[in-house]
Amino acid sequence: MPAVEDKVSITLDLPKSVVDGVRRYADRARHSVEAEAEQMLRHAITVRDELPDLMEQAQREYDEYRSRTGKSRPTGDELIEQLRRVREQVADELYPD
Amino acid sequence: MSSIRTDLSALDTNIYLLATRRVAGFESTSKLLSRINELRVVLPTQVLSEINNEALPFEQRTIFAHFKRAKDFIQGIGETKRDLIAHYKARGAKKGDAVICAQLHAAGVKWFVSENRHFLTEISDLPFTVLTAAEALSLLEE
Repeated sequence: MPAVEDKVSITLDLPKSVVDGVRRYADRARHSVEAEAEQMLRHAITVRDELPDLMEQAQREYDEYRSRTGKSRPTGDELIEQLRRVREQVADELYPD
Repeated sequence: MSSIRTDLSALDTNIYLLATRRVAGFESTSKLLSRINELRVVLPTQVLSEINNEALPFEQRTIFAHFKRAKDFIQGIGETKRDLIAHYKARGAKKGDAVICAQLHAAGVKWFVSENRHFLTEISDLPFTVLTAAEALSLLEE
């Protein structure tokens, strides 16, 4: 990224709640509303850019895990059933009788 | 008026994992996750613990990246009230379902999206509506 980027002015109509949210974070960070909004947009763009890569990596990781452990790919219903069992195990650990 | 766009929603662990693993027959889960930016999402502690238990590291990173895109994101914190857990257990919920119910109830969640067709079918007057990913997508289209 260049040290100094060209700036472009845009005008947005936003819900008051959104502007209030930006202002709240700006106050907290002692930024201007404009600086905070820019930071938020940069962050959102980064997340969106990263997401497809993460999805691909997650798919590869899951395929490698299955091949390493010799597990077949469960059907959706099998996965849902497995998660029902996990729910009971986790609840028993976190909230013992 | 109650709306999935303005009320608090929570997604079950199965939604996150079915979507991330792109499981055949459950394509609506990934479609819903791609529209998480239109939802005000609560992450109950129980769901977080299940994700930590079951999802592989990159799957967890992917799921957490989705949270960052939500219109609002509220992570459940604090102790779950034992009397609420007992309340739902007494009404026929299994312990795990009673815990998640108590957390959704305490957080004021109005919509719980799950592909578990058996989730709390025995309780008729829950403080939230249980719906599938496809049904949630339909509500987003309204």
